[in-house]
Amino acid sequence: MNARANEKEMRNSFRKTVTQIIKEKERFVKKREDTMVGLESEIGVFGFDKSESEIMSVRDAVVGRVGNKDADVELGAFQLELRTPPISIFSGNGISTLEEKYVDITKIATQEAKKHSLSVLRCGTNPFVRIHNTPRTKKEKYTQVPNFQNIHRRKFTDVHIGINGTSVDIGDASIVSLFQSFQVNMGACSLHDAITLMNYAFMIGPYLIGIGGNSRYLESTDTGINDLRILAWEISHDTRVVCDVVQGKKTRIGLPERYFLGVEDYFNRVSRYPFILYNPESATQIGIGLHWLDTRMKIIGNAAVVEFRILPTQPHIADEISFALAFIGRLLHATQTHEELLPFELVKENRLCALLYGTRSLVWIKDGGLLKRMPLSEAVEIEIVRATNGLLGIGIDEGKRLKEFISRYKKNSPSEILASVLNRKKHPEREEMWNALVSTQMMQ
Amino acid sequence: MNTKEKFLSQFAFSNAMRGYVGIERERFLKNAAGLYVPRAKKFLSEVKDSHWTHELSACQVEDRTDPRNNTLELKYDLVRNTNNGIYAAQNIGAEIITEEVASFHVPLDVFPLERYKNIVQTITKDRLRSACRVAGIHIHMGVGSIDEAIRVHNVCNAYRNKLIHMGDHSSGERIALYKEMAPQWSSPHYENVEHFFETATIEGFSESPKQCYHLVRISVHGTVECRMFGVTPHEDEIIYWVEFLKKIIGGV
Repeated sequence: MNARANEKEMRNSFRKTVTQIIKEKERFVKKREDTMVGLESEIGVFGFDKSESEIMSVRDAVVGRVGNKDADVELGAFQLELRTPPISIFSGNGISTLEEKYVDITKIATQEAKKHSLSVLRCGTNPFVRIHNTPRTKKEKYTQVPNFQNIHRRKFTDVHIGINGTSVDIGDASIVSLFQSFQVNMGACSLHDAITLMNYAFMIGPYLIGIGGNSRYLESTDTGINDLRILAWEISHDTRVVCDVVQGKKTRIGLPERYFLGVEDYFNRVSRYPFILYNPESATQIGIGLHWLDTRMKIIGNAAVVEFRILPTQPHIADEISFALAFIGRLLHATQTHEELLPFELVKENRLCALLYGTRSLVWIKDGGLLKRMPLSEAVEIEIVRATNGLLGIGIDEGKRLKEFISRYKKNSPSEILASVLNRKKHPEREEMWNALVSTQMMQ
Repeated sequence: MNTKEKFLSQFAFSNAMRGYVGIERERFLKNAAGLYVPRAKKFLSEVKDSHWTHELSACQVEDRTDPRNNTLELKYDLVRNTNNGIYAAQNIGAEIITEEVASFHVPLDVFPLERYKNIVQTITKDRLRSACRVAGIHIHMGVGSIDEAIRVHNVCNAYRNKLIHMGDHSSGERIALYKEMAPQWSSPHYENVEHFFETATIEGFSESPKQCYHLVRISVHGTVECRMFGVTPHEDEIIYWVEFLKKIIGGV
């Protein structure tokens, strides 16, 4: 069968499954207190003294040690994903249970890497690995998907990134294998609730990425960007034809054109893009899996899950927990107060500004019923108060933790701290970079 | 200083600005009833943003990006300016409208500036109407010297028809009106600096290069300016034009 026929079959299968999902929407309905939360984090394993194949086998050993239930390989040959099972945070010790599990698997992974004389990289980009023809995990999907993006990238796309006079060539879609993210998966009460939460997450994401930026360096070059991960993804995966661009269509990375109007609207958007892979029985998972929005809705069994993907891996897992609480609390606050969404054009501006300039951004926010533009450092304080209230609304008091967290983070994002340790050198030496990563605990 | 040197001294070429791009984007002001309103002055006092400025027509306003050497910040500037413009317009009971060609009945009020008043006195009503009806996007590319400006100018000029086609959203009406407004719209291929000076002298813009209305022109800002693009609400489309220009001129 040719590629076009495969795509058609995948699309038909996707539509058939999602029609069924919508028809059976009642099976996704649950009470808020019955929903679950899970965390995922991608980390790198690295060391100068080992060959690429040696690092890859250590990576596989780490996954094996943590266990396939809680860990998996990723696109990059030097990365792995750690994940907690879904845990109810609404019950008595829910948050502690989630935290303990997350700390536990992270500890096992770090110890196993160290046992093999490798370090663990807790940074949004791996600054040591080459971008072009970077080593990938040997799996069919990890070959087919980046190759498709490379072949179909729009002609004339400027594939360089850097805002401080530097320019790094990111014209290979497997650049994604250098990126590591921290993701929060939050169960929704229904399909409708999942769309509502996803829309709120688009609005909230920019404030959190502004302070949480942790991917600035590529190939030991300072791009000057607070968090380049998703921007580079958008550029390297831009397969829109000119006609799409003229019509204002966006890629399947980052932000959609507008807020989603409902679950059909979301599924329609997913099905608009090539499936690339062929497996009709898994068309829904493949379609959604390749829809790399800042936040996306996934269907897992009888649960509609909102996956918040904009944040890079943080140097400290305690801070990742704080980000997760801030995200969940902020979404809860929005639903509890039936908050009006910020106009989408303003979300677009906030996001781009936060990704580029981090804590130095000026962002739009609604405060006291008024639309205001203010420094991001002030806006996140408002956001954290809202998140705290959202958690209090379900009987969880994390005010002290979030207050302490924001007082540190609002000053400088991790990538700003790293740049400052490196004296803002545009092309730090490999050893300087290593030492800076160690001193900021991004390399452990 | 001879006349040619005097002419060339008006251009602020800078090596530091090579490869930088700046964008100017014109839009109309309409009220809630959908009528064009000559409220540019009121808009500018409301927006309080130096990235926004006036145009000849008082029904038009223009925003500018900072000069940028990367497309991400260019895009950010475009989005930020638009949002500032939207809210300032709302506050004066208007809207900023992305429209390539305004209706024939657009008011012919001119922004209250001596320079514009003088222009109006020297042109026919038909030409004024054409000027007031068209909105466009101008892309400036920074160059380091007059020789480089001539090279970049000639490359863009060679692609002129293709660029017109890329930026057209009005089935050619905007360009037709532009040609009516600026009979000397056609940019020649400059053989050398002398030819550039000679053209300026013959066409009467040697003393004031701003009065050159070629679709591709060497501007006093030390840039080569492409003026053929129409308007679009989509920043990515503008960035696509920039990327195309960068490609054809070979990464200046």
